[in-house]
Amino acid sequence: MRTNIVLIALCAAVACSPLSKAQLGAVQELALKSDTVSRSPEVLFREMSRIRLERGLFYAASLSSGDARCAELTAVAVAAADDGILVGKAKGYVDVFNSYLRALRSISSDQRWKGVGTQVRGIGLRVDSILYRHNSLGFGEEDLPVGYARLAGRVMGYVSEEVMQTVQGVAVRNTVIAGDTLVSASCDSLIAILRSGEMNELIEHERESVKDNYSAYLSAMELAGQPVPVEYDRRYVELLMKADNLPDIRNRCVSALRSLKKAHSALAEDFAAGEEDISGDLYEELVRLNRLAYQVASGLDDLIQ
Amino acid sequence: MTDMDNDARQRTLEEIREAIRANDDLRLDPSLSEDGREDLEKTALILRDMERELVSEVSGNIVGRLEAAAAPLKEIAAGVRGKVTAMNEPAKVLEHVKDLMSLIAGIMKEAGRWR
Repeated sequence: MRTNIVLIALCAAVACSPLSKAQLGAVQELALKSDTVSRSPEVLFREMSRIRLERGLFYAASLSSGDARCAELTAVAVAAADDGILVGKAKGYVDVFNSYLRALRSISSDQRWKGVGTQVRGIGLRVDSILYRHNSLGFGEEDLPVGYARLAGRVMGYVSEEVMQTVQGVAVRNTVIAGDTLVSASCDSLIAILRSGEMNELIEHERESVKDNYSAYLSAMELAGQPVPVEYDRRYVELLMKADNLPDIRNRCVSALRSLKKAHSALAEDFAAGEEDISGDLYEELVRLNRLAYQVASGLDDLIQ
Repeated sequence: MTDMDNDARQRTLEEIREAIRANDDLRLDPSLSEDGREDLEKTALILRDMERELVSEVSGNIVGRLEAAAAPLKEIAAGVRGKVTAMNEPAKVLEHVKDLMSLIAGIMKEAGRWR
């Protein structure tokens, strides 16, 4: 009687899993795509730093005095090192944002419940193996029944997987609901930073200064009667294209962050409302996030090359 | 940083750019003497240092705001990692039990060979 009650309770627990596989998949998708978006501040800072370094080299080459050129190159090197520290701090932000996304991806992964089932089935097999060896060694007067432990292992493996899925579903649901306010606030803060006057200032400064510094270099070469290698012109064009691309990358990141915020909120709303499957709004936001994250990733890759 | 401070600094960055441009136009004038060029190159270095200082200040402000924006997520991320660790525990315990069973079965198999 007691065994029947336990089995019924387990089946009831199994039937009460709060999230569907599709919903857990949506959480995985959200966490995976958001990873690209969150690294944009670090990449923007690093690339601005590289542009600054290279245009500094052109500017140093425009100085005729050896002392002046050496002083400028030294200052460029020191500034580049300081920029590296700043990029590291920007990366620190990325790591924190990503740690939440990685934790979310981890907690919603299949591995959270598959492992238990595999172990329980394995134990059933090994118990059977022990009983078989026991019988073959002739320890007892009668052979112990073999095969039931493996069967029990399979059944308990399935039940334990279902129980762990329920535990996982509750954990993911509570995490997304509890984290939504903070994720929204962090996205809003990051959007505000990326769209701030200071960020505009920096980007505009690099765009204009690339032209100014190379122009000074060309004038100095003309004054000295020295030809300019076409490779330098090519490098200037590459730098200019990178600098001109910075606002576009920034804008794509802002759009993707808005989509991330909306998708996370849609998930939290669905979970709080007890939805059993992915709502239309959530599906649309995930598709949008997927597209925007791809655009951001492409833009960042072009910038880094 | 207030909007007024931002505007003041933005004008200063633009002014620095203008000053560097104007100075470069003068120092790269073919008719300028060597002494004059040397003096203007010293001015160029000073202006470039000012530019770097301003850029560093603006970048530092932005990164500071980034760090502040990320701080709330640290705690929740730690909480989620704790839950993941707790969820992994049953599987680890079961793996130890399974390994022990394998060991017992292995010993019994060897014992059977010797009998």
